[in-house]
Amino acid sequence: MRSGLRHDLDMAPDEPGRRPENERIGIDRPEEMGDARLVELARSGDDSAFAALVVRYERSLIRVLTRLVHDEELARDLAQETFWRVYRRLHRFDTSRRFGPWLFRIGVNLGVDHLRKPELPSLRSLDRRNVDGSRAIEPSSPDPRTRVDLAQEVQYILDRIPPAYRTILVLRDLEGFSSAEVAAIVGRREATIRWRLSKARDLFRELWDRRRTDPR
Amino acid sequence: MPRPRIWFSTSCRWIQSRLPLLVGDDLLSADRRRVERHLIHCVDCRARGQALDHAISRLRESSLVPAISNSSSIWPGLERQIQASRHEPSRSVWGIAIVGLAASLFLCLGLWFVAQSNSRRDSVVENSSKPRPALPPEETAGLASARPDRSTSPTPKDPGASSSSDPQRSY
Repeated sequence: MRSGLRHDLDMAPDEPGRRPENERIGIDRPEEMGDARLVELARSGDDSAFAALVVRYERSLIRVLTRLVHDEELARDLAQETFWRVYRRLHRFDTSRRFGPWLFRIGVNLGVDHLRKPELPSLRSLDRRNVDGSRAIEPSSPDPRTRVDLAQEVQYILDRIPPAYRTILVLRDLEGFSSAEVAAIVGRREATIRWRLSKARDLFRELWDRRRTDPR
Repeated sequence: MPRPRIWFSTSCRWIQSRLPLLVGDDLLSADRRRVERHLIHCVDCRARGQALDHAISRLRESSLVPAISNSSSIWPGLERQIQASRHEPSRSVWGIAIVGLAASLFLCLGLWFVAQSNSRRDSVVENSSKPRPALPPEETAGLASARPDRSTSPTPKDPGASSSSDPQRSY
């Protein structure tokens, strides 16, 4: 059930008390260094260190953004913009904190800002086709039998949930962040996140039930 | 004896606000026990909990489908962006240049004003200290004859006027 992102953050080697092995024995390969060390190297102009950070987090970030905006190409553009902003703000980052939540906060904020633009992604998503040419969603289709259909149906419902709640659902239920991690990414208290999560799940259940009992 | 209706509905509302957290395993242990005890007896809340459990299970199941298909890295594009930013002067450099230019301009203007005021003051001092042209000799003689001889009997009101030919005297 849990996807790779939780794993990525759990494995973030710059947690207090968990110094990565490579820093203890002096390995210099960027892909094996901790996030904090890579940030320090990137600040001093080492592009390969920043490249290692990008490669480490890009798939997770693109996946989250794709689930938010329901458009993979747009999600890639947003991810690139996210890393560009991170690169320009590296000097502001406190290396005693974890890099992952900081990165995802910038990325999620970009995604939510995009969702709040006047353009209506939910209407656009109805006519959008997937990479393989199939329709993104068919609202009047019968109960889905394959996982792909299920994913499309879930995405259709997610598109109808306000961005503030959708973000919580994507991060917690689709990407497997813990409530504390979601709180760190969204920049709210954990109690607030739990309250929003409750509302978001209830809203999802309501739309799910309505969709199944209301064949248009 | 049946429980009071008010207590029951309030409790159901409290329980139903926590059911979404129960199905996602996000409920604190004390609340969890209270909710689970309630669900044993309350059919409505149990039905709602089952509906929530079904919906959230489907939501989570959908995460198994890969959300992204393009596996190429965004690093090459990002690297080009970073390299391009290094070749163009940054905003801060432009800011420093503009501020420096403005400061130089103000400094030049200030120096110009100071120089102008100094030259004006010098010219005033020079004009005030410059000797007035002497009167023609015939006028001087006329004045001397018309005037009483002050050198012998100077008046107390004009103590400094000792000579009629004093170039510093004022008229």
